[in-house]
Amino acid sequence: MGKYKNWLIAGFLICLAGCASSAVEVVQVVNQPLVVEEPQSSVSPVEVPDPTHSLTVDRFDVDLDRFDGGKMWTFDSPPVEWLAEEYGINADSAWFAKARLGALRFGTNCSASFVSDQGLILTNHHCARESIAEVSGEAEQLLEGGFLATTAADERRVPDLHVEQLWEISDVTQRVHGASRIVRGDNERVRARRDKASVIAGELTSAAKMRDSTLRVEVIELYSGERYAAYTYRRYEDVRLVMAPEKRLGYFGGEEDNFTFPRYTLDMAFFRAYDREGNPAVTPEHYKWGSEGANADDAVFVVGNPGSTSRFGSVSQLTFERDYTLVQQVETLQRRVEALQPFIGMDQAGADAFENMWFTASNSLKALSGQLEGLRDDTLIARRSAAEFQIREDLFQSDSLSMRYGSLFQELDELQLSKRAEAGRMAAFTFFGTAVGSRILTRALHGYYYANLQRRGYVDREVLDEIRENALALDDFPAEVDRAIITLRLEELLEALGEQDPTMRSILGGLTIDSLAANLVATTALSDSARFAALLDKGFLSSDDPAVPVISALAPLYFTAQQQAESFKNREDLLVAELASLRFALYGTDVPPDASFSLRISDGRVGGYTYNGTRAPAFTTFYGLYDHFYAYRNMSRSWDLPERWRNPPEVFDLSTPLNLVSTNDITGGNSGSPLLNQDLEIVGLVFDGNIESLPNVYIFSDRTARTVSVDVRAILVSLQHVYEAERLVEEILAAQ
Amino acid sequence: MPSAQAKQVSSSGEADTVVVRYQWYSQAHTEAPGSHIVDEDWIENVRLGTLQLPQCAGALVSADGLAVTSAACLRSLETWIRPTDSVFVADELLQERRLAGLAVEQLVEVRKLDSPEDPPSDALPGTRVEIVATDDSSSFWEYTWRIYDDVRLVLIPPVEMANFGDEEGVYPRHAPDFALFRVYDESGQPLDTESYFAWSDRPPGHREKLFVTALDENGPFTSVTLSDTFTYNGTVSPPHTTLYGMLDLHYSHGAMGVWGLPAGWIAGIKESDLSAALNFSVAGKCAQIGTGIVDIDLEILGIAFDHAFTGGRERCVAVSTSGILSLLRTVFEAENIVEELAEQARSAEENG
Repeated sequence: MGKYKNWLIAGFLICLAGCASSAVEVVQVVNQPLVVEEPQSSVSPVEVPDPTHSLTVDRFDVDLDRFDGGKMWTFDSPPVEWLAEEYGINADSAWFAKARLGALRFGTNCSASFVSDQGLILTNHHCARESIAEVSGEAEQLLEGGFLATTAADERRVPDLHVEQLWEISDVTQRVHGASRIVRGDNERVRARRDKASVIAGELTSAAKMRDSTLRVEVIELYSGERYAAYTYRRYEDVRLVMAPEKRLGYFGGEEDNFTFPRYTLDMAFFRAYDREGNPAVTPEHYKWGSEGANADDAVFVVGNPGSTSRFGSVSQLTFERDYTLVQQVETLQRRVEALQPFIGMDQAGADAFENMWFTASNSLKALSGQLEGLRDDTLIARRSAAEFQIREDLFQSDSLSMRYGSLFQELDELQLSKRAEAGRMAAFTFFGTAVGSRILTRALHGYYYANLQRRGYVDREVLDEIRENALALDDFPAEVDRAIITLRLEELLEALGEQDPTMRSILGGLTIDSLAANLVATTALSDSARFAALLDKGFLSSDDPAVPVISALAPLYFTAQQQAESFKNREDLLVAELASLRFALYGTDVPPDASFSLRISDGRVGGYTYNGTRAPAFTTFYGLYDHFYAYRNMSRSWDLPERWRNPPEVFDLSTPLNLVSTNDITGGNSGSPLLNQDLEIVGLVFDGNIESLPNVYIFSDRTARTVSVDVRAILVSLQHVYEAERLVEEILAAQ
Repeated sequence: MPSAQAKQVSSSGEADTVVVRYQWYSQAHTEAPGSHIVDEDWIENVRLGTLQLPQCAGALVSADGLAVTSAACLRSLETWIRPTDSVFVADELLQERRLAGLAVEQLVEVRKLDSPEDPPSDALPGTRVEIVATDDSSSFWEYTWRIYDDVRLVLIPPVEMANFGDEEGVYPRHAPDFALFRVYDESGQPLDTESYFAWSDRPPGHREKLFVTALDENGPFTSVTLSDTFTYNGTVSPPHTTLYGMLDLHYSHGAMGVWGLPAGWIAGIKESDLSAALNFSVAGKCAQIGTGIVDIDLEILGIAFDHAFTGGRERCVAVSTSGILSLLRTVFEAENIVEELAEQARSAEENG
C-alpha cells in the first residue's frame, strides 16, 4: 500500500524561508506507474563530455571555501572551535543546550521559538496564516484584520497545530549500522538501515513516553545514512493563537517584495503552548528578549529547521538542471504568467482561485529564475567543479575508497546523459497536472487514473477516495483561463512531438489547437467540480465527454514519461547517497550534512551589502514602511496600510529598526527561526532570504546573499504603541 | 511652411514607452504614436521656458525669472563657491547672489533657411545666431539665442542633502538635488517673462506621459516619455520615492557618511510633509542634467538630475517638484519663494 501513499501530490516546494505564500503547493501528480518496472540499473558506457568545458571561469580561477557546503550545523556535532576562532565565543555544551531548547519546530514546515517562561511562542505571520484563518469566526476575517487576545481566556486553540522542542540527542549510528552489516546490495542496505532506524525510534519512543507522555523520538538520518541520531522531541499539542498583525503588515510588500531586501515587513505572530492540563506550558528554556537589538557586524545565530539544498550532488547534475530542468520550468511558468496576466482582475466565479494560482506561479517563477541565474554564473559552476575535483583527488589517495567509489562520478555523469536524451519528451509535461495546469486537463488526468485503477480491479477504497478527493479539491477557474492554459499546453506538446506524431494527431482529432481548446471548454463536464464528481461515479472513461479522447491519447504518454523520470530519480538518489557517504569518509563532520528539516544552528554576522549600484543597509526603519506606502499607493495594494497604521501616535519612533539582514545560512523551513546574539538573546525573527540568496541552494555564499529578519525592536514598539498589547509586552519584558 | 515633422529618434522595444523627440523646428501641430497632440503655442512655451546653462539645462518657473536646475549644475561653477558655502538661501531679492561669469541662454527664434548659403540674420546685442542642420542635412534652420549674463543664486541645499547617498546612476533614489536661480534683464530687474512652467505639487501619475525638455548636442528638443516602473532587485521599482525614504536611509545607515543628513536640518525635514514625492524616474535619456520634466499642461513635475541604466534600459532620474516644495516650506523656510511659486501656479491655472 505504501507506494500509493504519496499519490498526491508531492508537488514541489520552491519556497525559501519566508516565501510568503509559505509552501508553494503546486499540486503534482507524481509518477504512479501503472506498470511496475525495475529501475534501470545499468547504462551503457558512453563518452561523457566535461560539463565545464565551455566556462569562462574554470576551477583553477576559484578558491575552495571552507563553507561552500554551508553552515547549517547540527547540534550533534556543534562547531565549537569555529565559533571560538571566528567570534571568540566560548560556546560550551551548556551554551548549545540553551540554543537548542528555546527553538521549536512549528507545524510541518516552519520554525519558531519560546520567548517567555509561560510558553509564549514567536513565529512568522506567513507560518501562522492557516492557523489564523482556522480560528477566525465566519464574520471576523482575522487574517485581514489581525488578532489580539486581551486575556489568557481569549487565546484561541488551533486544531491540529503542534510545536516540537528538541529535548535530547543521542547517537545511534552503531545500532542502526549493526543491522545492515551483513546485508548485500546498496538498495537493500539502505532499506535495512531505514527499517532498523524506524524500529529503534519506536522502542525509544515507548521508553521515553514512560518517563513523560509528551516525548517522542525520531531517528534522523545524517550524511545519507552514515550517521544516525535519535532526536527526542517534546511535543506540545495544545497551541493557541495569541496575537497576529493584519495581513497588510505581516505581508507588507506582497508577492512583489518576496525575496527582496530592503524590506519593511512585520512578518510576526504569537502563539502559546499549553500543557495537558490546559495551563500555559512552563518553559524556563525560553530565549530572553534582546531589547537592545543587534548592531552591524555583531555575531548572530539562527536556530531552526532548514528543509534541504542541492549543494552536495555532482557538477553534471547541476549543468543538467541549468540546461534542462530549470529552463523548462522557467519557460513553462513564464508563458503562463504572461498569457494569463490579462485575466487578472476579472469579476466572475473562479477569479480568486485563478489569481492565487497566478501569484503563486509568478512567485515560483521569481525563485526559479533566481536559481537559474545562479547556475548560469560560471563562477558558481567553477567553484563546484573545484570542489568535485578535490574530492576525486582525495578519493584516489585511498585504495579502499577508490575501489568503492572510483566510478561514482562517471556514473552520475552518464545518468545525466540519459536524462538529456529524454529531456525533450519530458519538456512538454513540465508542471502538467499541477496547480498551474488547466482544471479540465488536470481533472481528466485524475479521472483517467481513477478509472484505470478501478478497471484493473484495484480495491483499496482509501486510495481511490484520496484520488477522488484530490480531483474534487481543485477550485474552478474561469473558462477563458482554462482555455488559455489548454492552448499553451497543446502548443507545447505540438512543439515537442511534431505535427505528424500519432499521439498529437489523435489528440487534435483534425481540429486546430484553438478550436480544440474552445470546444473542450464549451462542452466538457470537467470545467465544473460538481459535474465532474458525478461523471467520476458514472464512469469517466466510458462517457462521451470530449475530454475523454484527449486524455486517453495523452495520459499514456505522460505516465510513460513520468515513469522514466521516476526511474532516473531512483537511480540518482542512490548515487547521491553514495556521494554523501564518500564525503563523510573523506571529511567527517567538518562539513555539516545537508539540511533535513531537523534542528540546525547557523552562524553569521549582521551586515549590509552592495546591490543595485549602491549599498543595502543592514537595517531598515519604519520610515521606509511609510515611504513604500506612499510611493506605491496609486499603483498596487501590496504596500497598503490598515487605518490604525496610517497615523501612528507621536510616541512611535519611526526610526526604530524594522528589518535586518545577516549572513546566516538558511533555506526553506527556517521561516520563523529566532535570530540570536551571542548571549542567546533573541534579536530578530527570520522570515526570508534576499534575491541574491536564491543560488545559495547550490553553493553557500555570504558575499551578497542575506537572511532577512524582523527586528525585535520593531516587534516591541508595534505591540506597545499600535496594538496596545500591554499584557504581551509585560510578559516579553519580564522575560528579559 | 514645412510639413509637420515629428521625428522619432529612438524607441524602446516595449510597447507604449515610445520615445519621440520633437525638434524645435517642427511646426504646427505634431502628432505621434501614443502621444498627445500639441500645438505651436505649446511648443513655443516649452522653447521659451527652457534655459541653456553650461553643460546643463534649466527651466523658468515664474513670470519674474525664477528658474530651477540640478544643484550639481550650479555647484560645478567655481565662480560663486566659497569653502564655507554648503547651503544658500536668499530670503529676499536683495540677498540673491550674482553668479559671476555665468550666462544662460534662451532660444527666442527659430527660422527655416531655404539653403545653407542663406545669409544669416544679424545678431542683435545680447543674442547669438546659430545655423543648425537636421540630422539628414535635408533642411537648415537658424536659431537665435538670447543671452542673459546676470544670473543670481536664490537657493541651493546643503551638499549632504543634494548629493544624499552619493548614488550616481541609481534609482530608486532619495536626493533633493535641485537649485533655484533668477534670471535678470539688462537693467538689473528680474526677467519679466510670459513663458514659464507652473510649479506642480503632485507626483507623476502611474504611467503618465511626460515631456522632457532640453537641448542636447543634436539641438534642442522635447521628448515624450513615461513615468514607469521596472523590475529590479526581485521586486518592482516605486513609481516615485518620498521624503520618508530619505529619513529611512539616514537612520538605516546609522546617520553616517554619505547617508548622514546635516544634524541641524533633521528637525525641519521631520516637520515637512514626508509623504511628498522626492524622486522619480522616466524611461529614456534625460539628455541634459537640469532639464525640466513637464506634463501636458506644461506644469513642471520634476527636474532631471541623473542618468541611470536600470531595469534593462536607460532612465532619467528626476527630483520631484512636490518634494522640493515640502522642503522649501519647512526646511529652508523660504516662504517668499513658496509664495512666488504658488502665485505662478495660481495664475497659470486662471489663464489655463
